[in-house]
Amino acid sequence: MHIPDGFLDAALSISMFILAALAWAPSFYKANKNISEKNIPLMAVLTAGVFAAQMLNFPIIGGTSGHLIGATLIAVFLGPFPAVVSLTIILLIQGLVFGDGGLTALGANSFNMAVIAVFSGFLVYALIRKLIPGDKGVITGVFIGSWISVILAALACGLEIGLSSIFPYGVEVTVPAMLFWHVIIAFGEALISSAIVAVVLKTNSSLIPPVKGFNIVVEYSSLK
Amino acid sequence: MVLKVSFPRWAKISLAVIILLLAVFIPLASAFPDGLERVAETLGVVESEPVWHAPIPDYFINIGGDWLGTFTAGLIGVALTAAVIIGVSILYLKFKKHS
Repeated sequence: MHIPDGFLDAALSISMFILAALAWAPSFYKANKNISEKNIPLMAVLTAGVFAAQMLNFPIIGGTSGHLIGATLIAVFLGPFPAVVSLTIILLIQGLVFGDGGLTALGANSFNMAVIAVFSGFLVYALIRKLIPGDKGVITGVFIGSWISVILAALACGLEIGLSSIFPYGVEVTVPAMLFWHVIIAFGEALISSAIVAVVLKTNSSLIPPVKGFNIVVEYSSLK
Repeated sequence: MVLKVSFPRWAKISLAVIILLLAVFIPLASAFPDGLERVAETLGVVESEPVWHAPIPDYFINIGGDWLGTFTAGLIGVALTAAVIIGVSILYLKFKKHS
């Protein structure tokens, strides 16, 4: 879902940088609370893993593919604010080094995948964990949270390209088109994310912290 | 101030698993357009020249072989991502200790 250069007009590109910045500033600031010496290896491994996963597209139907975003997955382990930092760094490296996602669209791509996907996915995950106790709640939360996070990111992306004067069609065409493919791609995201979390629950469940309010319990991580 | 960042066993194993999965899945990955590319294609919108020429475009380095070229690019990306995260986290910790 990486928007390349040339999809968004100048006004929209700039607006999206402003919108992203409005989320970046408080998120980068709040991430401070969650980042400690103990969880640096976890943040590094998770972010590098999501980078690798984003390289690997899985086929869906009709000659189309999708790949993991990993926003919900990272937020489950680190909390939503460090997840914004992680995803933004992935997008920056992809744009600067690998030409994936245009630099003029970095604001839009960050807003979609590092902000909307992270916050919506984590919010749904947190709510479901409140409703369903135990490991079942964790896995269900990750599954549904991941699914919704991709759909909302695709909705945002559809709105952006639909509002862009470069696209010959408006949001009434671009939004349904984006949603059509991403409702399916989102199942891939949900399956991969919940499978990874299920494996971690079995092997090293202390890596998955409880949720408190709109964050994880920071002091919990008994990382060994 | 001395920062102690050590990689525990689970982190090393996870990193090895990530690299292994990358190696295994590269030949299996789909070359079909992704959801957004597909929508743009259908609506007749083409990408413009990028404003920045990335050193490793499309996750591929031409060093002989599709798999090797993509795997090498992937390894560079994984190492770079981990390094940037460690760097940024250390900046966070320094900022924290000063404030």
